[in-house]
Amino acid sequence: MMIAPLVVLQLAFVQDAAAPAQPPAPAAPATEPAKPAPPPTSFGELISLEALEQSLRQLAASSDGKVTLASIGTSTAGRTIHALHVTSEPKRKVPVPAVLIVAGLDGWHRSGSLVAAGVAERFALEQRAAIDARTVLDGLDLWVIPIANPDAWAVGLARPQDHAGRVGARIDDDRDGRVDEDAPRDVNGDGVIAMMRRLDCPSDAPATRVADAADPRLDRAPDGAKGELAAFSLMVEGLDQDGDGSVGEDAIGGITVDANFPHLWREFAADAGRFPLEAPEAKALAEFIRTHPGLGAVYVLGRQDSLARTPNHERRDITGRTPVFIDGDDKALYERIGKLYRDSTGIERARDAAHEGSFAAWCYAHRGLPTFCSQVWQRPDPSPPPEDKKDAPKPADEDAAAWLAWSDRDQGSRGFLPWKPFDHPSLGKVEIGGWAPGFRTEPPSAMLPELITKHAGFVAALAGESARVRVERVKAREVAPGVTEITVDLVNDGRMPMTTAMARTNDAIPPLRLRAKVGIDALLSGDVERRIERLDPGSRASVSWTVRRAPKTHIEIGVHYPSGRFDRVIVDDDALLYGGRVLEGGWEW
Amino acid sequence: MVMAPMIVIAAAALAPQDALPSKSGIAWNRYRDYDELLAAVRQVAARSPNLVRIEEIGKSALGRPMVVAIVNNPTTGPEASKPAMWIDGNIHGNEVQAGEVVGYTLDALCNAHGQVPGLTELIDRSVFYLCPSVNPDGRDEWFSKAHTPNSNRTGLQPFDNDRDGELDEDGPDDLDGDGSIGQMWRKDPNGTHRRDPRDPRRFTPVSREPKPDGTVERGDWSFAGEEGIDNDGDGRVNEDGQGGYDMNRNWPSDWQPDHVQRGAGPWPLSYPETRCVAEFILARPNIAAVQSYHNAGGMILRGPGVQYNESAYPASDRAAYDAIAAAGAQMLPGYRPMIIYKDLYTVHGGFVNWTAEGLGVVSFTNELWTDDRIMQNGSAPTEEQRTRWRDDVLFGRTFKDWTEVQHPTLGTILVGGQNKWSSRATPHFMLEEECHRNFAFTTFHASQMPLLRAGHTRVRSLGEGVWEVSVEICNDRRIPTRTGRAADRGIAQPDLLTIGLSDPAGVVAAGGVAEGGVLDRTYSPVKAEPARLRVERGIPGLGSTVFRFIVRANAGSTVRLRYESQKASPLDIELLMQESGSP
Repeated sequence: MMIAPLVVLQLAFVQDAAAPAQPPAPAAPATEPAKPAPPPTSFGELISLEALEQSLRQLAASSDGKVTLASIGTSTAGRTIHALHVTSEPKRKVPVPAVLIVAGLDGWHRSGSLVAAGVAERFALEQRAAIDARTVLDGLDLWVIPIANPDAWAVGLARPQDHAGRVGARIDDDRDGRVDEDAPRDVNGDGVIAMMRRLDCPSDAPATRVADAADPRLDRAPDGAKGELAAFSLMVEGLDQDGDGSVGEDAIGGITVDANFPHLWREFAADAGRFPLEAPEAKALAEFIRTHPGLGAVYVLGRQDSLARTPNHERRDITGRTPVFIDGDDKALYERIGKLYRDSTGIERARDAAHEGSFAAWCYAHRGLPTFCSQVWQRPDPSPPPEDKKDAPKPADEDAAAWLAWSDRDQGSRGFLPWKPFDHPSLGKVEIGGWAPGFRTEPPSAMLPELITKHAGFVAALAGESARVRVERVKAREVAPGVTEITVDLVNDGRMPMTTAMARTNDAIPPLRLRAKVGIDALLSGDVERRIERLDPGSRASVSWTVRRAPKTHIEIGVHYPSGRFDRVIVDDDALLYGGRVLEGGWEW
Repeated sequence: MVMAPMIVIAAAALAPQDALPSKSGIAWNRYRDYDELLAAVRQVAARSPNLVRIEEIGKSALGRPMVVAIVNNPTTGPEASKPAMWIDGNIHGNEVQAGEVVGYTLDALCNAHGQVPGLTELIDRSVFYLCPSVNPDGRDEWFSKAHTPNSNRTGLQPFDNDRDGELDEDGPDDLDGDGSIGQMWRKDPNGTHRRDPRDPRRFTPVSREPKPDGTVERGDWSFAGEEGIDNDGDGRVNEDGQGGYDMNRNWPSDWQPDHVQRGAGPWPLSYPETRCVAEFILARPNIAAVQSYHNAGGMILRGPGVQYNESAYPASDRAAYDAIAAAGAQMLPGYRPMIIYKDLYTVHGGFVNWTAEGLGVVSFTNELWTDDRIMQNGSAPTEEQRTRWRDDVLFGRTFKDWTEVQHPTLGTILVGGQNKWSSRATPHFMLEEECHRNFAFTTFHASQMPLLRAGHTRVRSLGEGVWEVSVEICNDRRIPTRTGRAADRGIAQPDLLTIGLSDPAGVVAAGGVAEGGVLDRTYSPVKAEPARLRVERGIPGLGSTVFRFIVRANAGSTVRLRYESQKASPLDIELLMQESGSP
């Protein structure tokens, strides 16, 4: 088969959203990704939503049936929310573990969408880039929802600075009866909505920060013990457009999709929705999860991280019955998958990010799914400083200083807008500048090919870790004439538990059920239906019945796995000599 | 102004103790299934077309219409300009008389309008949204199928209660064909019970205490559960009946997943019934009072549903809650004001918890009917007294004699006992009284929705064409224009006091006076928008707040003020710029 070109990757390098589609480039060896010229800014590199969607369609069309593109719902503005199903057997009768990748939940982390689509492409086109895709796909179904929030994606490209991915009915953030009337704004006309340092602070809104001597572009809290006085306050760039005394307090937009899920939902936050899953995008994802019970793991690319750093396992919510992050009994699982991630991607740093009401938090806490989050990339190490800077004072925020250093030494200083004085119409003297929007969230396009390779490697490794629960053997023994004892041994020889501890708490994932198809009169010991709630990696379980069985008849036992797969165990006269037979049944859902 | 005397004359023509003439012709002294109840509600609306409008707000899980009757007198203003009360019932399918109480309330409001001055005034300044059944499928099911007094609470969306991959496959079965789900008793030589020789309808427990000779008494009957068989052959009986969730645990505030709150559903508002009611309520920020009807127990319940939400009811709100509940306890014999988590049980995601704690609206749940009502002195009856009541007053109609039935796994058993009408439904001959007293309670609650009035005003010249304008805004009812809960959590819009001048720049400064009702104190100036004062905490119940403006205006000119609250009709005030008012 002719392998299609790297459609997604190709589009990822388009420099301008408005640029016409370029002809596909010849396929590059996957092990040696092409090196495009470094783009001047991070935003210009991102492609338009339409171009990305077109690339998904092309991927499905060129995949020889391995990739199907389905709709899982419609966004607030009527855009289709796509899901890619990647499988080596489109008509698979017996289910295999499935991994779901979700990206593009907001407008700020669009590189996650490109990586998610790129991973799907790697698997679909069997490119051997750090993974043996064919082997992996034999035992794995991959679902990819690369653009979970297409409205935010589309708006984010046009106006990335003032729209962080909020969708739906516009919300009156400051509850003053006027909607979206005072959004952050480009006051000094430099084309960017950045930050302001207010220098003339009134007594009721006093200054709180001083410039950091280590790098005056950065700031820190003043040291009162040394008599240091604050010099300015920080706020988003904007005007008081409605004359209410506040700046930029009623931004454009409605619900933040990734704050609209039920776990730790912030009920009174303006952007969290009037109720959980109010946003159609959030509802579509929730329904997808509810109607796909065979998912073995969820991988979310975007804001949060649960892999570079192991999530907290001690904090509980207000009821005391649901963990804020993860259950203590799942800590080992997260530690192991985290190590796998760090080994696969080299990503060991992560930024703090809001977790309340997020899709990932809900998938784990309320649906019991092993859910892993990645911020897609990490701050690269800056080149070494020049000799004369090596003894510079230590900055208060070393991470911010490192970002600045990387910007200055390796990125042509594109990451930070120098503070420039400005006479603000209502605030008086201000300085406008700060981090270039997106600089710390979106990697340069040049990094994308390697990131896709690394994340594909991690997904392959994650798939290899799946729980593998199966009937190991079936023993049958004639206890007395016409009376048979049946024992079914089960084993999990995968590397994940059959269900997370959280799933065993919230009952969202069914147990493994074994059901003997015998009449109540024939059952001498054991219940008709037996359940196994827990099967950790490398562990076994046995279930026995004693039944009346006449010669030349058979007993059937249905084995129903949490993944939705079921097998049939047959015990007949031959089973007394050779053990019972296990017949693959297929899907239940 | 012309209408009021006519209303008084019309009312005077009626004997005060007699029933008001019924416009609908409906008597609320019997029970109706959902179709009949809906027909009755539509009939009430059809007979009062100038006052009632029926709106279908959605469909139930099985496609039945979800209906709200809207009572509004359009000649006194559009709905959105008036405070409104939401009244619903029967979210639990088996709690049937809630539907009759809501239907009666609608009918009684229509009958009273133009006949009873106090109610006419209340109706003309308010809006009522009445949803007779939040669970039409459950109601229909209870009437048409075999059930117990306690089933079905649920809606009828299929649900896998026993996590076996099958939906609703093993519910109770009406083995004796009596239209009710009773009890099963099996003969047992080591039984826990004996039949009472004085009243063989009763099974009495045998003592578990050893006798002096060391032996333990054995009974000859044991309880075998609720009427039913093992439909799915899993060895268990009745473990996965219809539905199996609780729509009164499916609301957004403090919603918790199933492992914390059984029956909560997969997420808040996951059912079509709860979702459409929530959408309806959210679209109407003028709703200032909520009443939800359940059964049974004679309770006037308020939140919180859990202890950790105690702070959701600050003292200023509790004053209104306590006063309204205390009035209810006077109107409703046997009913007691109670707090859900403290006096009943813990509830996460309850409906009134959402309306009270999430929307900041004063909300009650009444648990209709208490069998304390069967006693002359209102005390709790003993089981024997209850049996006599059922025999002597209900003529034994709630009991089904024990009948022998061949059970597929238990053998010969007895089936029978008290039927679904026996304990939670108000007896039919007391139904109208139940409806009327609860109607009276909700109209009292509605009457306490905010009512604004201008109190003291004062205009003082500060010289040079500058005036100090002071105005007291009074709320003559117990519910504040913004509950403390709404103000604390920033729920919906705060109140607004705007001032209109020919020159918009003429408003120099403005603010509120800290001490309520006192004109001669200094005020706290706002930092921005003095012509548009944002009143975050609203006007307190049975209280007032003074506001002050410093304006430039010509002597003799008129200044117009407007006070707007989402929970009250707006108040317009005009003041002449000339020295006036008292300190």
